Amino acid sequence: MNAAKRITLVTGVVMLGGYFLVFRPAEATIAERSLDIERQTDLIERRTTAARGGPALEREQRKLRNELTHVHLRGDRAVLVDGFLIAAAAAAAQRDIHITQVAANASTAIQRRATAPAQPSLAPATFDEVALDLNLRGTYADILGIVRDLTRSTTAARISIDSLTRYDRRVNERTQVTALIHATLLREHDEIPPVRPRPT
Amino acid sequence: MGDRVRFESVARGVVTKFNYYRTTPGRLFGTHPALWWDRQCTIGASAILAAFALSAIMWIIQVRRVALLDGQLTVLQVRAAAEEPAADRATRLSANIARLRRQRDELVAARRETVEQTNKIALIGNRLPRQTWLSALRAGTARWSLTGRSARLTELGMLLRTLHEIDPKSDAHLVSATADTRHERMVEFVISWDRSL
Repeated sequence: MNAAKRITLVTGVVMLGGYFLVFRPAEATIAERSLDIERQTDLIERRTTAARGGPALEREQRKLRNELTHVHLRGDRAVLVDGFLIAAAAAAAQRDIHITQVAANASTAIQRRATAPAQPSLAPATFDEVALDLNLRGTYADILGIVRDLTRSTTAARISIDSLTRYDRRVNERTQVTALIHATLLREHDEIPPVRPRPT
Repeated sequence: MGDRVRFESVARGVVTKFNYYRTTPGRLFGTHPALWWDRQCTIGASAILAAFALSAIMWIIQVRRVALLDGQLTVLQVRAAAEEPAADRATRLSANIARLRRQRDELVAARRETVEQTNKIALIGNRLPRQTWLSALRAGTARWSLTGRSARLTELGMLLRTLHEIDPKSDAHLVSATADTRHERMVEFVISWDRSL
């Protein structure tokens, strides 16, 4: 190997060394930083957009809360049942309806969930449900009226008529029917505080 | 002697022995020690130095670029951190709004379902043929069952048509029609009203 070739070789080695030891690692770092900058820019853009929508979201929230103020969605299950029964008794008294039986019925809620369209498994149910069965006796029109009244009451409920059966005896010369009504009372889920596992 | 050693020096006895081992640069560049710093060597050294200098410049430039990008990144991180609380609040608000909307929609749907059901029951009652009476109505999720009595069998056909008019997507059919044992000329009937179509 003559001198020229050796010089070329050494120069090449130095250049290659410079490329692999200086240029390449620095380029990798620069690419990484550029990617980080891009991510941060996206993040800032998203956050800025989200923050800009804050006042509009607050207005929307206030509007929705106002729409829901007339129904009691918070509170204990017992309070909810109590409120519903008071409303039912008041409506029944107004319409001359007899509430002959009230029974807790868990099967209604279960049945409803089974027939409801499939939801994503992770999506929580919107409401906590308390199912009740009510047996009523009154005129046909009053039964339909009380169901509509209870739907409009301050206790949020999903109410449906399960059956209407003609009552054999006439009261005040008016034909009476007995009705079985399913009422599913709706309330917000209780907040469950997260329990932190003890570090092991 | 060749062109590397002067003859006069050997003749005068100045040079008594020869060092046949070449020095390191000489070995490296194929030149004799005495003539190591010749033109070729100068070019070689310059080339290597230039390569080193180029690498050094490259290193300085790259370090500078990385430092610039680091600076930019720090500024952006500070900005992102400053925007975080407002964005978090907006996210919480969005989640809350979605929950309230679901609640409102579900309540509206529940009320609508009840009103629709009571309306249907009321319509059936209002549009019953003249000599037909219902004695029981069972309202299942998909299928309703209507039990009653009628003075004329033809009125049952009218009732079936009425049910179809109330809900055109439904299918109403007669399950049974039997003579009432208690009342002559009265027919007891059971109609199934399939509303799942």
